[in-house]
Amino acid sequence: MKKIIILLWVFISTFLLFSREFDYKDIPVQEGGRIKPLDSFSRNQLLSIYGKRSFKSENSSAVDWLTNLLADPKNGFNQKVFKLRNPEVVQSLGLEWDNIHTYSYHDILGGLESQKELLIQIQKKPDDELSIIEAQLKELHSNFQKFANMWWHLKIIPPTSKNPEDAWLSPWEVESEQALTEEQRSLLFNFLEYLNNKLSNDKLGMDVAMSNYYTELNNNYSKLVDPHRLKLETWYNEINMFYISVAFYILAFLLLGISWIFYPAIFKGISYFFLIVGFLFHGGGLCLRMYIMQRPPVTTLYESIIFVAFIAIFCAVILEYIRKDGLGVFIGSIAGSIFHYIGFKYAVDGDTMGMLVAVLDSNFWLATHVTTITIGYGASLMAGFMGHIYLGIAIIFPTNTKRLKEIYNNTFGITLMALFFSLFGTILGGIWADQSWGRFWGWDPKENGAMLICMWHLMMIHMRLSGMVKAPGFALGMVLNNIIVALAWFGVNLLSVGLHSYGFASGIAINLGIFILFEFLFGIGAYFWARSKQKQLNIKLNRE
Amino acid sequence: MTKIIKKLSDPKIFVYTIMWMMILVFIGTIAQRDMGLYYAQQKYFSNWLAWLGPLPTPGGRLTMLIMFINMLAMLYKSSLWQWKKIGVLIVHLGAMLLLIGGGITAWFSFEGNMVLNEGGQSNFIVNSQQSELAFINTTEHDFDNVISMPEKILTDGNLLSPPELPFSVEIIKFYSNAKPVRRSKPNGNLYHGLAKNFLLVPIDNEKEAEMNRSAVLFKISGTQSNADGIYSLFLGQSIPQNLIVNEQNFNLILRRERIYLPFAIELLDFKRVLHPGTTIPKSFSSEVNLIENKISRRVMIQMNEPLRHAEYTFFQASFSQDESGEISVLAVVKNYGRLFPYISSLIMSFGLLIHLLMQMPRLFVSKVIKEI
Repeated sequence: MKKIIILLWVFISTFLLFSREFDYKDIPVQEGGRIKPLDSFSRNQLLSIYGKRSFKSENSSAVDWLTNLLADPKNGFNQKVFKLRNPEVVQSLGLEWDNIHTYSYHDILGGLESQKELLIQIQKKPDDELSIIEAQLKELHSNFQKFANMWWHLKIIPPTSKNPEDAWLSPWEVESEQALTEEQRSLLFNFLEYLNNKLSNDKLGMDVAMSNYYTELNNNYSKLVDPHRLKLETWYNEINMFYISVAFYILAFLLLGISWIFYPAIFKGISYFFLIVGFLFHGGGLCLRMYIMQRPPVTTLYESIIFVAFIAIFCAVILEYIRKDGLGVFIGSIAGSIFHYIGFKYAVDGDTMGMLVAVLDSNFWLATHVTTITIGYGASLMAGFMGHIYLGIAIIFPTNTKRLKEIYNNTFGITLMALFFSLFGTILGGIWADQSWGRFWGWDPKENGAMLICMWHLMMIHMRLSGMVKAPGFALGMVLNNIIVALAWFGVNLLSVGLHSYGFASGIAINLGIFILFEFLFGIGAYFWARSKQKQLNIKLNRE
Repeated sequence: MTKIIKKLSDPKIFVYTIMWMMILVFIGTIAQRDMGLYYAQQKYFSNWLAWLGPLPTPGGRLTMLIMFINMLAMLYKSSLWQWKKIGVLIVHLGAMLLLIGGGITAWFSFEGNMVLNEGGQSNFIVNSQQSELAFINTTEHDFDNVISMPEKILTDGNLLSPPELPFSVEIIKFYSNAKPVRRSKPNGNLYHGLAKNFLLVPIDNEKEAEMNRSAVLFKISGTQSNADGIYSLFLGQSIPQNLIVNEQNFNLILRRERIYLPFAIELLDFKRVLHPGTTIPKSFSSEVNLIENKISRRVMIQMNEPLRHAEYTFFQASFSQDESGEISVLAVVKNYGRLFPYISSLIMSFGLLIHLLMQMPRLFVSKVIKEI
């Protein structure tokens, strides 16, 4: 049954992909050192200006917004797209704060002109001395500039040299038509033709222009761009596999809840099935990203979140397969939803497919060290979740010793696995450092963070060995282990970034603090509660 | 004896040492923000004792030594030597090997930099944390005779009189970081050169140890001329200090410690490639000639692809640019312990894997067996 569904999924997706013709969304643009479809480019622009990758209310996609803006700037400049989230910024621009707080080019232009002197002053200040409002004004100003000069930022003309290492040109960078080769000119001409036809709503003209564009691209620039990968990326943007996957995880959780009340066997089965479907979409999204970027799965913090979730859910699926009591679905669906939620928060930061700096740009080490250590994070967190479950069950069903014993064993097994991957990953990282900097270990924060995780696991394993902790103590140790993982994973970044008091970093710091506090209080509280329940039970048994 | 060994092999010792190690790592990592990586490392990790305020506590080295002894004692236990525990045994042997390798690296490794101009060559490594006081005898036209005194002997009050020098040197004061301040009026006749007009004022160490500007105040005597007196030098001083004794000309410099190599490296071309249309670096590479016994060999050094030659490894570390062109900085490392982590990690992973495979059935499948 499962196999059929996987096959069906693969079949449908390939069918959808190949059936679609190359269209305006797939037009290659160079941004951030990478060739991407116009669709991704527009989404990134809209994200920085409007704060979202598409318009919710007007049912219009980012790429349509951008092409309309390019074809008909007059109209585009009147469209309300600048979303300002801070009422103080709105006030300082002399604008009115309303429910949607979204403004047009003309609104912003007037506002910024009235604040000219302030802006000049802000430009002179170093970034870390800016107040929140100043930083936001600066960002708004740069977004505004970008919006007004979109033709300058749209690097749509491939380099004359046809060398993949060279920068592409934007139409405004071209000094004269003569500076372009015949091939470049016809590519640009067809793009402009497409925009013209779009303005006059000439469907046939649009199609003709686009088909000419595609022919030119395929004939002359097949070394620079792979149309298939562009189409795939557009499709990846549109389908948004991770949203589908989180929907299935939530559904699995709800069904599991229902199974505790009605028809346990059936609903548990369905919820497990949904967990697996979500997991497949999750994996599908990861595979797509790997194919589009031609890179191993984890290269950025965002990707590490998605991948850690993938590993945790993989463990959960296996656990459920072995235990068949809903525990795997419970942990998997919760972990999946939480991690995806965090991932979505990170995705708001900008393009999630960025290029890498020189020292990281090594597929071999990314594939070995980074993947292993991320699996280690995932398995460690999984062991942490099991710790929660153990304490929870010890409080609610203290008499069910058989089940508790099993969960304790499972937790220990996952801890051993986590230790294996963390240790191996940390050492691989050392070897990478030895290969590229000449030292195996340099006590750098990231290295220390990874080592802390390994040491925590080693400590817990030896505490268990020497009888210093029993099952509840071990479970508590694994709950606290989550704190160590979170610190090594996110906390280290805060340390090296320095204490920037605005923007995303402070958001992380606060969330991290809340998480640590929660885990700490939960762990300690649940531990003592479980202990006292056990004591009561023992007294009762003694009496009988 | 057996009793002592048994006590030493108690896993509780390991639990406490690793707890302490975690605390140390945590403090040491946080401390890097304020004191920089190098000094935090020196203070907490590469030290036998770590001072927490006035309190002496075991430093990284001592803690790891205790761990090592603990594991060594554990090997003595007969209960460990059985098939069931083979995985555990292998893991511990691997861990001990890792610690031994760490020890060897800590004692015998050496790190420095080689700075190369495009078209230029060099046959020495610069230690970016330590300085040396060099007396360069430039009397002969064909060669310079260099007498250098490394930082570790530049201790306050130390009297140095190497036979190659026609005078003796007494170190009055060595500063790891100092700045010269102009005196309100020139000091007496006893003072010469920089020391006459400037006073050296010690300042706090920089976060990055390489940014420190060390300085030294010393007394020269035995020249039987008016060159006797007090001198001072600081790192990167622009006006050189000369000294003429017995018709021999000496240049006095305080510079980064140099270690000479039996071969030279010539930089042919340094290349920096950016991701197109951005300022994100894609790759750095130095094309060099390795010159040994007048025979040269062309080598490419780039990120993640170092040059290994005669116990030394050269890595692309950084670069800069000045009027004369591009400058490439290679990090140079000599480490006898570098293979240890490779071998021990293989052993540890192998042992852990065996242990995992042996334990998994018990930890996960117990339920199924019971039900049957």
